[in-house]
Amino acid sequence: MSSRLVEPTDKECEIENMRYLPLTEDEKTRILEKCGVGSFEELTPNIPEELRVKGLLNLPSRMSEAELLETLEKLSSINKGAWMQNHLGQGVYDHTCPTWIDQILGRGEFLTSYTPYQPEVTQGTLQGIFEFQSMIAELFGMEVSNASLYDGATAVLEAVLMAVRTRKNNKPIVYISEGTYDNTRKILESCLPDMGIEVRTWWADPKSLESTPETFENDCGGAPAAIVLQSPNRWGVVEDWAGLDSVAKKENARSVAYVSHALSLGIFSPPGEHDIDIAVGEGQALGIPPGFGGPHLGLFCCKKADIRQMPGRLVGHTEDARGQQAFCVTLSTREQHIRREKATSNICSNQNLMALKAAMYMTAMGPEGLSKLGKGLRSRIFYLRTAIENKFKEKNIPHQVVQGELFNELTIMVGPKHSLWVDEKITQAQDQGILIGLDVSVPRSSGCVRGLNIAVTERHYQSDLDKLVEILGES
Amino acid sequence: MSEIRPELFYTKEHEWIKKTNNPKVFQMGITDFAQSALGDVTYLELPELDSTISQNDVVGSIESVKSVSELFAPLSGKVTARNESLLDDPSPLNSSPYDDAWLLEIEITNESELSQLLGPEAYASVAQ
Repeated sequence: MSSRLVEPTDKECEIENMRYLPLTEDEKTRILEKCGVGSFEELTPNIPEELRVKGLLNLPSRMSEAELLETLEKLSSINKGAWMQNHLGQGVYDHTCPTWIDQILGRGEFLTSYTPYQPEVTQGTLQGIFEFQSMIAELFGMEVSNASLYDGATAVLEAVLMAVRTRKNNKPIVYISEGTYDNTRKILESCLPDMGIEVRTWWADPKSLESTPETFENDCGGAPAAIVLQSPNRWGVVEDWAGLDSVAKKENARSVAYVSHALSLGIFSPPGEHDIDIAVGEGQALGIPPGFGGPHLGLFCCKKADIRQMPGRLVGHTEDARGQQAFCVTLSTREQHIRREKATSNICSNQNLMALKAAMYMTAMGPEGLSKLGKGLRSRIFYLRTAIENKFKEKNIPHQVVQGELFNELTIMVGPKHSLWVDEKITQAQDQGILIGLDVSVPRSSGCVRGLNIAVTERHYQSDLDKLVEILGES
Repeated sequence: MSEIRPELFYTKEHEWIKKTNNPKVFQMGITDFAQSALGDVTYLELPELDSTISQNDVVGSIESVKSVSELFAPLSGKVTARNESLLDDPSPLNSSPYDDAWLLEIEITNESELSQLLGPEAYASVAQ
């Protein structure tokens, strides 16, 4: 600990002596007496002796405010990851966001307002949500968007539940594409079986890593309720919504499109152009920082005919008694405060601030900006793929890089003889201040055993990518 | 005071049941009392045609501006007809609950359930 900058004031010492829990010795004695025990420890006999803290916690002695700030700043500077060249992907991306957005978002009206419980007096909030919904519906090419959900993975879960509600005569089975993120699959597998819904896999082609009508195998002996396809998939490959539509129609199931990276819709054809029933997505890339894994933003769109089965809140545009423009929470009879246990979903709040930020981000970018950004990301990843392939050829390195259409991620797949290569590269890159990517599993049928997934964003320049290629080419 | 028709049977869930020309087939709807308690109906959800339903099961829902109520099967059997026009425009549920706004026709499979239905007098004491 550094020497004291400023001695704590008398006032600060006084505060230090105040306990956070306002329990006096006298109160403590009376409570213990009432419980019929002699000490607090007698109430917690199940905690093993060796796990109990004896004496005081190992904390530094008291500090002044200035000293405390310096100490914490030093501590946070040890945390290097946040400042490293970051190529981690798999659903959370280190994109940029125009600085004015945080300035506006920090206004009290936005930052401190909670969910619109009295909708008629929160017109500003409702207008914000309405505009968010309008932009998301346009981005997805779908008829309706809700007021947002918590994140992409739970949006997929809600989509499956909605599909099962609207396909009561089908088998309560959902097929999800093999290229769906591990965490999304885990969420489905932890929630659905207890509700009597089974999760099966729509395998990917071992060469192209795409889930296509040719790779779909119905092994459930009937019509499944839902079929889910994620694009871009977890290996970075852009999948084809038309294939999802045709498989779902053939199997008489509801089609669920999972747009894992919202910015991909800036250049690729949206689910709405392919008659998809339910389209969901992760909106983190729309101006929201990676954070420590959240808050993120769940996007949820469906067809107008299904809005009564759609989870979450919906804001509508209407006229008040004087004929003036007004916004209202519509179809709120589906929500839990009215319908209780029969609600279509218990999501009744929303990610309002994140939705608002996404709306501001989309406003800042405009359709042209999103398209320009998307093209920039795609050209970076194609540059990287070619450079890696050339380097591998030059150095006689046998690994494969995913083929096909990409957006901002790619995966290098390694065979059984090189299974430690992924770990080695991650460590080598870290030593040079780079988070090179994530270890991902690959289809068993591909003949490979592991994959290194690398994402790029607009923060990365050609020199950054060249540095990656150098590391990947080192023996 | 809401209207109760003498020729109909009722349930305590505020549904009415009417005989048809076919002795196995019964028509059902919601009562005048029910529609006035619900307020303006905005949306209706009915069971699929030909689906099998069991007495007291929830088979659909009626959504009004202020609530969503469940539709219970008054009798067990098969749904042989649905009032499809109500799905597009449910307003007859408020204006003509006993005539235009019939909901389903059910071909019953258990005649003994008929004895559990209420007559007009018994229903009048429920609908207060």
